[in-house]
Amino acid sequence: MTAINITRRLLAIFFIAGFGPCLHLSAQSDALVDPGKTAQAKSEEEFDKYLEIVTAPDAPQVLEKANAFISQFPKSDLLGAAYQYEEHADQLLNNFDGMLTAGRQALLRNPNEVSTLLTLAPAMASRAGGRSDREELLFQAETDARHALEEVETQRISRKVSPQEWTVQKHQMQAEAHGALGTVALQRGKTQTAVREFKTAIQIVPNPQGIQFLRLGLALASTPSKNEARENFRRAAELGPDPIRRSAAKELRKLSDKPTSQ
Amino acid sequence: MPSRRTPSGHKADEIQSMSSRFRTSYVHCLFGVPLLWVHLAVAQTTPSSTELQVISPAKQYPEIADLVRANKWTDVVRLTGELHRADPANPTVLYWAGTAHLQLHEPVAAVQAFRSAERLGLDTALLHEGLGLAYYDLNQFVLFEEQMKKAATSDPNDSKPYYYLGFYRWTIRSDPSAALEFFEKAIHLAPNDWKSVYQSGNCLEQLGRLDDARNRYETAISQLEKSGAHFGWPYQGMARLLLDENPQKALELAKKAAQLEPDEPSNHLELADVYQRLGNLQDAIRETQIAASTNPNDSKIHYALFKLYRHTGDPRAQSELDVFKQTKALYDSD
Repeated sequence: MTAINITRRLLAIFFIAGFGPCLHLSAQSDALVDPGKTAQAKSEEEFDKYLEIVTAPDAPQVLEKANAFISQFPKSDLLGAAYQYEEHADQLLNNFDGMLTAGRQALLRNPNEVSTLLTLAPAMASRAGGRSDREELLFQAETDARHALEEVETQRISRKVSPQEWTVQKHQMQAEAHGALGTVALQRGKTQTAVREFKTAIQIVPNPQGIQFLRLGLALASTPSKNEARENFRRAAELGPDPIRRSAAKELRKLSDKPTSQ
Repeated sequence: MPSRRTPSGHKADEIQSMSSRFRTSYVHCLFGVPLLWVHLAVAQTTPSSTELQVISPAKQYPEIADLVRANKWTDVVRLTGELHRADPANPTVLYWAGTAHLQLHEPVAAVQAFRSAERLGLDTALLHEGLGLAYYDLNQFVLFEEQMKKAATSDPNDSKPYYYLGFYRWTIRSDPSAALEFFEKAIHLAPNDWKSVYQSGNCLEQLGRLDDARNRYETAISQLEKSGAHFGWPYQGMARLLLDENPQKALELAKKAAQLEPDEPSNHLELADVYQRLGNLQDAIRETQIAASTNPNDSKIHYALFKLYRHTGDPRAQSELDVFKQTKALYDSD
C-alpha cells in the first residue's frame, strides 16, 4: 500500500467518522474542581459577547461571534474558551487550517485542555499527508496525543462524575489518543506500531466502534496478516454506521484479490 | 447528581466548604464543558423559590403572578416569551423571563433576559440580585459582586445582597473575615435572618471566636424554632462546639440536625463524631455510612469510615482505604 493510498484512506475514514468520536468530558480545567479559578469576564459587555458565542445556533454563527469577540476583547480571560468554540466550529465546517489555528490559540491559553488536544491530534494525524508541513503536523499530533494521555492520568474531576463514569470517559479519551498515535504511525509507514496502537484503542473501550476496526484493518492490510485485516474489516462492516460499512466492504473487496498469507 | 453550591442554602457539596473541618471547593462550570452545543445549563444552583417570590412587578401581569405563585417556571418562560413578542419594549416581562430561567437552572438564558431588561431601563434591586445570581451560577464572580453591590445601592434596606456577598466570600474565597463583615451588614438590616446569623457564627468559629460563634448558633436556633424552617446547620455547629464540653447535648443537637436535613451528609458525619466521642462505634459507623452513601465522592468521608472500620477490626477497612485513595486521587485538588 503506498503512502498516498494510506493518506487518502485515512482522510476518508476521518471524514466518515466526523472527526472522531465526540468526547464529552466532565473534567478538564481547574475550574471544575475549584470554581474560584474560573476565567472571569471583566465587564458585562464582554460576557454578553461571550454568551453570544455560546448560544449561537450553528457553526458559521459561532465563528462569526467568536471572531468578533476575539477582536473586541483581545485581553479577555475568556479568550481560551472562545478559541475552543472557534476550533469546534471550524471542525464542523471542515476548515482544517482554521481549526488548527484556533486550537493552537486555545492551547496557548489552556495548554492542558484534553478535549482540545484530542480534537487536534487525530485531525493533524489524518490530514498531514500530502501537505508541505506533513512532518511538523505528525510530530505535533504525536506530541498532543501523548500529552493528552498524561493529562488524563492525573486529571482531577468534578464530584458530579462518579468514578465509574469517569473510567468510561477516561478510556474513551485514551482510545482516541491511541487512535491518533496509530494514525501517525501509519502515516510514517510504521505499520507494527500502528497495529499496536489501534489494538490498544480497541481493547481499552468496552464497546469499540466500527471506525476503530476499520483503522486496524487498514493497518493490518499493509502487513502479511491479511486474514486478520479481513476480520477487522468484517467487524467494522458489522458495527457500521453505513459510511464505515461501505468503506469496510470496499477494503474487503480489495483484499479479496490478494493472496492470503495467514 | 450531587448537589450544588448555592447562596440561598446549603446542599450536599457544601459540606466541604461550609463545615469547619472540610473546606475545599469543587463545582463544575461553564468553561469546563468546551464542546459546542452541549447543554449549557450547568448552573450550580438557583435560589430557593421562596426567596424570589418577594419580587413584585408581576402585579402588572396577573397571569405571570399566578404562575409564579404556583412555581410553574416553565409556563412562566412560555408566557413571557409570548408577552415579549407582543410587547418587546417592556422590561418587566423580560425580568420575569430571567427569573424563570434562573429557577429552571438555565443561567445563560437568565443572564440574557435580565440584561435585556436592564437595557430597556429596568434598574431595581431585584433585577440586580437576579442577574447577580445568574452570574454566580456561571462562576462569573466579578460580575456577581458588581450586581450585588448595585442591588445594595438600589435598596439600602435589602439584606440579601450582603448575605450573598458574604456567602461568596466564605465559600468561594474561603475568607471568613471578609464574609463576616457582609453577614454582619445583613444581620444589621434583618436581625431575624437566621441564615445570616448562622453563617456569621460559622465564620466566627473559623476565626477561633468560639464563644461568639456559639452565641450566634444559639440565636439562629432560637429563630429557627420560631419559624419552623428545616435548616439543620446551626444545630450541627452547636453540636460541634459542645462535643467535648457536653457530648450528650451535642448528640441531641446533631440528631436534630440530621432529622431536619437527612440528605445533608455533613449532618450524619457530625452525628458520627458525637457517637464516636460517646464510645458508640457501631452507630458512628452507621452514620458515616449514610454520609458516604449521600456523598460517595468525598474522600474525607471514606477516610473517616476507614478509620472507624480499622478501629473496630472490621474487615471492610482495607476496601474502604482503597475507596479513599481513589476518591482522593480523582476529586481532591492538590
